[in-house]
Amino acid sequence: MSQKEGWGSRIGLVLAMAGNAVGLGNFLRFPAQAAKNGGGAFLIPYLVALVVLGLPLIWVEWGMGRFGGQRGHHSAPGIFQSHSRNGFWKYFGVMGLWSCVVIAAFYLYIESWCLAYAAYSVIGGFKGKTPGDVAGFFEQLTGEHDFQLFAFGGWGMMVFAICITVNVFILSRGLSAGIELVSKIGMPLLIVFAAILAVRGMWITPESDPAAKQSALDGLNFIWEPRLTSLKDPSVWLAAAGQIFFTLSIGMGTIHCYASYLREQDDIALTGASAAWTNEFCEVILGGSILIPIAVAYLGLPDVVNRTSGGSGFSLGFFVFPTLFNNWGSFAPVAGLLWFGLLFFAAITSSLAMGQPIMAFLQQEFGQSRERSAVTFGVMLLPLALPVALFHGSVFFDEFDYWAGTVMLVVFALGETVLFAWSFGMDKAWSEMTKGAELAIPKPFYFIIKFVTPVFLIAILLASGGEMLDKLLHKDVAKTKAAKLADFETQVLDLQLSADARETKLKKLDAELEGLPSDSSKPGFEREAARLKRQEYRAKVAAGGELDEAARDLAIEKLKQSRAAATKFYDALPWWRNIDRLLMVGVYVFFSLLVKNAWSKRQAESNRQAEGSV
Amino acid sequence: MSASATVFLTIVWSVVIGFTAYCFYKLLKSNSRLDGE
Repeated sequence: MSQKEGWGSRIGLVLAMAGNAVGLGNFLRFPAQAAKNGGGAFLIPYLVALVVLGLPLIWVEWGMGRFGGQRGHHSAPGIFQSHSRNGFWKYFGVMGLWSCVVIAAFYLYIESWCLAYAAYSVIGGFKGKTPGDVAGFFEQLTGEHDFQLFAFGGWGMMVFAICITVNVFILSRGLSAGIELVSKIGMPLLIVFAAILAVRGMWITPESDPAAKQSALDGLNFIWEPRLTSLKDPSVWLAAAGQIFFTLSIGMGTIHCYASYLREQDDIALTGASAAWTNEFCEVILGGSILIPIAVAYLGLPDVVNRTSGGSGFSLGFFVFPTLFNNWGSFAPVAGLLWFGLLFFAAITSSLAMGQPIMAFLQQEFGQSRERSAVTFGVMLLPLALPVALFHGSVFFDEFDYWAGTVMLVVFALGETVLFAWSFGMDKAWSEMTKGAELAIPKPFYFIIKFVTPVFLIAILLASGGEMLDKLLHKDVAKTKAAKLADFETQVLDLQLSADARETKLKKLDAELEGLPSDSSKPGFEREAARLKRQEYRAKVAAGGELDEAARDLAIEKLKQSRAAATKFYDALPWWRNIDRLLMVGVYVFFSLLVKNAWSKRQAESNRQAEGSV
Repeated sequence: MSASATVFLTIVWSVVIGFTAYCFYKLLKSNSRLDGE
């Protein structure tokens, strides 16, 4: 039978919950999103979303979790079912198991990269390397190459296996001696590591460091300069809501699980708020003070604007950062360890949270021991984790991230709000949330949870509807394919230009470059970023003219080969993505059958008890 | 840094640090304990 689980201390619970929330997104996604969506002005919709979406959902999930835990349930299917007599909710709650497994499958892979990068930094592996070299290291690690469906990186697989084993081991030690202990060590270390990097980074100026192009404060200024016109753009509000949603790890069933180990009168209002604000501290203050300021100092603002234009700081963090630390001399290996170490701690405290609901479900419904359930979780990961590691990122990784790590979180959160505030009843829900509270939840949250939060969630889903449909019908693949092929076509045509035609084109590009600074419709840094892109393109066109005929023919031939490989890759991608979706549906059906089986056993048991008492 | 960026940074950092500190202050002053404590 399963061992009794429980939290050892309140501060341990707060750190575990904060660790669950603090992830890679705090340090890589948030600064890029803020930079892309209006700088300081982004923080206005961000804080609004925290109030109307983040904090309400945090309290809803803590409340539901503690309520379900009092009725003997520690995972989403049982917790959801304990709030309603309608049998549908336990199958809806399956999403809280499904998301954990699917997200853990690719999240653990990123976690293993952090571990590998940290180790490689310590041995000085990135010394004297360029971003291109680091990209090569990444290719070696993952075995992933452009336009190749299959990938195999021996080292990467080994580190991935180590990562899964470490997670399984920690989980097998239980809530208090495993997750809580790791959080008590990992979270303070993460904060210290981040603080050291942020403080060291802020001292970079062109006067003190010859490699610096600008001051790090210019980077901080870039993130915090309020471009208030961005507030008129609905997509900025949507991006802020999305960031709050994902940074707090809402909609996965992990918070429910952690909260389910509390007693009926234990406070959830203050503990939940403490975990949420700790996450905000790590994101807004620490996350906003490392990536962009250091990158701007060494690369210059226009380059950083271009690199973060997609709203992700991944390539900056993984490909460029290790090379920037080289400017710090003998401190470089330590800086690499601090950076990738903090990302590793951020990741592992989140991945552990994804394992616990699965273990709780297996222990409770199938009587597995703690150790066995941890191993079962590790085994369950394999059918999903192996495809993630053995295929190009666009195949399984991106699809898992989009459907399980993005869309379904919002669907799950909407479902739980409807269940808790409407089906269970807002009066009962409010009394549940405020029971034992050591922080008075302001009364307006009663109405926010009942009306504003679900409307906000529906708005997010509706606004993302077009993108979802595009993904579902593989239109996104078709668009990317068309753009890539057009790019190859342009490159070939540029190489084939005659000397006169090249001269004319270069003159046209020069005229464009001269005209860019006077385009007042864009802020100065955007004009500079566009100028840099155009300059890079001009350099490419000019370089084509310097090749002799043989070299030009070879370059054209290579481009044609890449074009053929890209065509083949994008033609096969929808087919593989359908397999991927079948796999995800299969996992959902698998968990639903387990839930059905568990509830049949429960029913049979209660029938037997009823007969016995008669 | 520009004046507007400094003002924005100061306000938002104050809000975040203020709420985080307030929560931890209340948490540490609290007498309630969990099972294991």
